[in-house]
Amino acid sequence: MSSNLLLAVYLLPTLVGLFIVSPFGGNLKSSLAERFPSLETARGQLLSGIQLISLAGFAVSTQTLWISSKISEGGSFCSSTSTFSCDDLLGNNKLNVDPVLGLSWGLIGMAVFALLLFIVFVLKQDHNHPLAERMISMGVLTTGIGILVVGLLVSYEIQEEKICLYCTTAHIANVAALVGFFRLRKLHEDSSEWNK
Amino acid sequence: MGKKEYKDSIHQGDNIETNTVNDPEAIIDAYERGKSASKGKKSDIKSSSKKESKATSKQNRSSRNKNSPYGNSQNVTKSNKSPVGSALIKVMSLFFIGIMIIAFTANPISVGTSEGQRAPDIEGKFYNGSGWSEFDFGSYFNTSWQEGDVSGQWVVIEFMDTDCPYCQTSAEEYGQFANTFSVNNPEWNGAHVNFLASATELSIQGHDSDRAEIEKFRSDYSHSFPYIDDIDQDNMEEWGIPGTPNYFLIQPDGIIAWSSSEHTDEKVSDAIVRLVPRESA
Repeated sequence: MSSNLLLAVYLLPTLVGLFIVSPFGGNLKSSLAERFPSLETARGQLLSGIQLISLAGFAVSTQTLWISSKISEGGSFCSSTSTFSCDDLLGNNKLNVDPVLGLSWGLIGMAVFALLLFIVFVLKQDHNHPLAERMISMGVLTTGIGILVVGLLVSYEIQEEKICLYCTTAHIANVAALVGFFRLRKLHEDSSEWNK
Repeated sequence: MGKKEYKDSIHQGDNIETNTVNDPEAIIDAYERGKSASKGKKSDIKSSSKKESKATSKQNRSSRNKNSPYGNSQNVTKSNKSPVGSALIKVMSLFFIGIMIIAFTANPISVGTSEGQRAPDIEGKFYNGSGWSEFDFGSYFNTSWQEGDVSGQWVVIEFMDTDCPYCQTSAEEYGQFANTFSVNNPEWNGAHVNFLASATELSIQGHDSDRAEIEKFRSDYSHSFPYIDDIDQDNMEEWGIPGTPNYFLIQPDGIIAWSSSEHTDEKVSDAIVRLVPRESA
């Protein structure tokens, strides 16, 4: 599978998810609600969007961890002399781990998106769960901190003058999830809308 | 009835009439009352009579039955299913699958100075006899090298200090090894071995090094291989070198094949003969 096609597999669901959680996502109601009943309500729409984003984010994080593992073996995946190169970033032993615990950024991404999925699964099953408000806040906080991490990783890309498209997809997923959780928190404040 | 009415959750079963003990509805009713009691809703139970409670319960059940294709027992089971537990199982399964895919398809090699690990980078300027220029350690390696391939070039690196007496003693011999294990030596039929020296300044009184001293040392011992400036000890710290001299034999793919600190009784030349592939082998 070509790397561009593989990238599209991760990027497309992320962008669709971003569209669903965005204020423009309401336009989908009429066209898709019949096919996907969960999109009928604003809550269902936001949760479905975040679920799609988190799944794509989890998958692309797994892919980046796999790539950095393969590069350490001596493999080469998307190395090129052009600006787009993940080998130079994911294969850089100083940049591909967090500076505090030394954990791979891919593994951290997997854990974060798994946490977001957990929140979505709980809220989908019981939207009035006693911990619903706390979980939504946790989602906002996690993705908010994620923005700082994205900033750090983008600074690495600028420093190395390279762009890793897999990493960028994961960054977009984080931003999209933040939008989703932010709107979900707003919705939760309005109990009549939340309980529709 | 004249029978004692139990209010706690444990004894709710005793509230069932003897003639209704085989009635599933009565059992579920007792279960639900027990559940309410355990949640601290004792006051509600006290205020309602047994008959009222049974009637309400029956009504609820019948209305639920109308809405659900499943029976009572299935409804009870469904309401008890924790969304947190269920979500946790789903997410843990997903995470486990992701990790297993990586574990089965990749064999990551960590960076370090033990045998079998990928050699850390060496940074700094190097002297090759004509001047000092930026050293590129990665240019010595080919990550696609296959074990046994004689065409790949091996690397021996010595961490040394020009003021270290042990390094001075071994310098002549090290120079000879560089000439012996070279493709320019017709008697050596093995892969070419590149020799390198990383010159540091140990934090010992009287050890004062500079680039001029490194150049002189190289010239005095007639070495032709590059000397890397590590006077600031950056590379020594990165490699975790406890003292000098310290030798490493590195495969053409950048993996450490031998280190003198793990084989104190073996000379670097013996390690080369033992590990580097040869044409006739």
